[in-house]
Amino acid sequence: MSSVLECRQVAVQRAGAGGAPRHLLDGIDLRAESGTVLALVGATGAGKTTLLHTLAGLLRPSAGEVLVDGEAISRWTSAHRDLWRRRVGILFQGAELIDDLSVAENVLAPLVPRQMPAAQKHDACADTLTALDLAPLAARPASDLSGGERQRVALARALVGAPAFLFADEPSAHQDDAHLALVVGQLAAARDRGALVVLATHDPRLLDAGLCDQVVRLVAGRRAAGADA
Amino acid sequence: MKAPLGLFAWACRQIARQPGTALLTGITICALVTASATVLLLEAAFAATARELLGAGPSHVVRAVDATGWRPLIAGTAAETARTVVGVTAARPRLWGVVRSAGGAAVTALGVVDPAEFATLGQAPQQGQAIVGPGVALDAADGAPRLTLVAAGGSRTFVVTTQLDAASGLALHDAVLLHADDARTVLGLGPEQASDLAVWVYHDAEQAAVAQELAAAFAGAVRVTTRTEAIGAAIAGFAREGSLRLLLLVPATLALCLLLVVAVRRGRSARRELGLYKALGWSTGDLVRLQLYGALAVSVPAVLLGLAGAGWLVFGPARSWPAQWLFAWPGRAPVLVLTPAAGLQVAFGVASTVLVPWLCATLLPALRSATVDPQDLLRGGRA
Repeated sequence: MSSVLECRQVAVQRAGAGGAPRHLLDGIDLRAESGTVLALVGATGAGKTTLLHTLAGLLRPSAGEVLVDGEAISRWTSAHRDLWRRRVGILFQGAELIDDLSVAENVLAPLVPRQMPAAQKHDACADTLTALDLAPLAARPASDLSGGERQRVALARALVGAPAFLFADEPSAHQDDAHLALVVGQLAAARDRGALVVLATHDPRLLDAGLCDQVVRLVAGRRAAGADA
Repeated sequence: MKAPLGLFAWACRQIARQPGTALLTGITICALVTASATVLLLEAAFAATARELLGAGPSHVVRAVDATGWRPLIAGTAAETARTVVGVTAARPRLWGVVRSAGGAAVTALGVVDPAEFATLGQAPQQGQAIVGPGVALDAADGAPRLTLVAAGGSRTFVVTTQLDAASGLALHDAVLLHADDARTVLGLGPEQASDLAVWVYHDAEQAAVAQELAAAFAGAVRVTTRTEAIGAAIAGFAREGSLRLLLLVPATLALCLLLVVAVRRGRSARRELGLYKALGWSTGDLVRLQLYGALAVSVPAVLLGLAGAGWLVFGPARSWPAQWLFAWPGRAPVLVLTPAAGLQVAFGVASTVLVPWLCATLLPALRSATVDPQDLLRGGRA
């Protein structure tokens, strides 16, 4: 089923130094459909990660609405937002792995509470690790991994539940060209099975890979006028 | 690839990440349960044993008293007087009293007035012989076992024909059964005298009324104790001793409080993980179940071990030292009885007293995270 994710006049404020409000996002409008890839680009501090987290339901906007198929998820109760996040795969900029768990355990974490056969969980985990060239590392503690490996493990964790919405923050960070191709291939596969993929990236290689259907440029928390691809 | 696939297995994996903390928590809970359950089980077991013992005894005990304390009764006269009271079915003079053995231990000397009463213990002792309970220490001498008692007119030594085993119960634990004449000699009683009078009545419900009638029937001053009063006094004595010793649980309780505080004020990394799990699609219910399973996986074995330890201390081979320590019981502790219902009540009470606050403290962070955005938790915010 096709889904539409929309932002309407989304703003996020945080208390800054001296208590004065700091605008992380201001008046963001955007619309993306499932089966497409939306890239958020902009300089460091432009608000890409904040917007990604707001769309993923990790953060409530201070103003405006985030809508999925016309329903404002930003107004949902905590319990409904829990359910929404089960449809979401998230890759954090800093990977956010649990260091004293193994690679396989980190990837498995989103599936643990789900009502599905153990064999299915096992297969999904093994398939995702193989697809991202992580199978040989499955038993290693996450603390032993390099930066690129950590980012791929985090991407595997985001993909393992076959989410309808994938939010990936710097998915190509620390990847050499060979591994970048694997990452791009997995993002494209997610899009091809009908997921909406939202990327936040600095990496021109990812933009040049022909993956993105829409590019939104952010400048100081606002959408740059006339600069979208 | 070997990974925990279910929520309970994941909770166990979480415990394995910090084995030292889990072990210390388990030991603290186990120690607290053992200490409190031992006191409560001993108290309940002593009470149940006393109730059973006194329940099988006479409904009233009549003792003559004067200004200096108790004094002997004239056995025949006292029994006849008691039988004149309406409702009394039997009255039997008893010969007994607490005396010292040569080793200095206090024992209860009992005179066998009616050999038929002691038929289950074998042949009644003849003059110069004694049957002793399992808690009585004999003279250290070669040859035939002997027991020397320090009597009013000098020491008397008896040949011990039988030492009863532990199954003989609380009543005979520190008893020395003697021929009636020997008992009178040891206890300083005259030929016609008895220590007290045991009385049985037709209706137990009339204990209080019969007690008044009995007291009025005797010409001299007597004290009449009903079975209910005797049971109450015995239980109150045990409870008082045990309650004082419960104060010693304060350090263990403080340790549990510390654990609770630590569980509630979990660190920044724990809050970050709660946020991470929420971001990965775990609901608040999933997180509560995760914490619950983890807490139960540590505390349930600890509580069961603690209860088993308490049961072993009270009813097992090592039962003497807690009884000596908690209740100043002299010598080896007797075999105690406890109904399953009373045992379960103690076990359930102790387990819930420890488990409920521990589980609440463990679940609190997950419950508090329900309304906090994952992003705030990931940044180490309030939960």
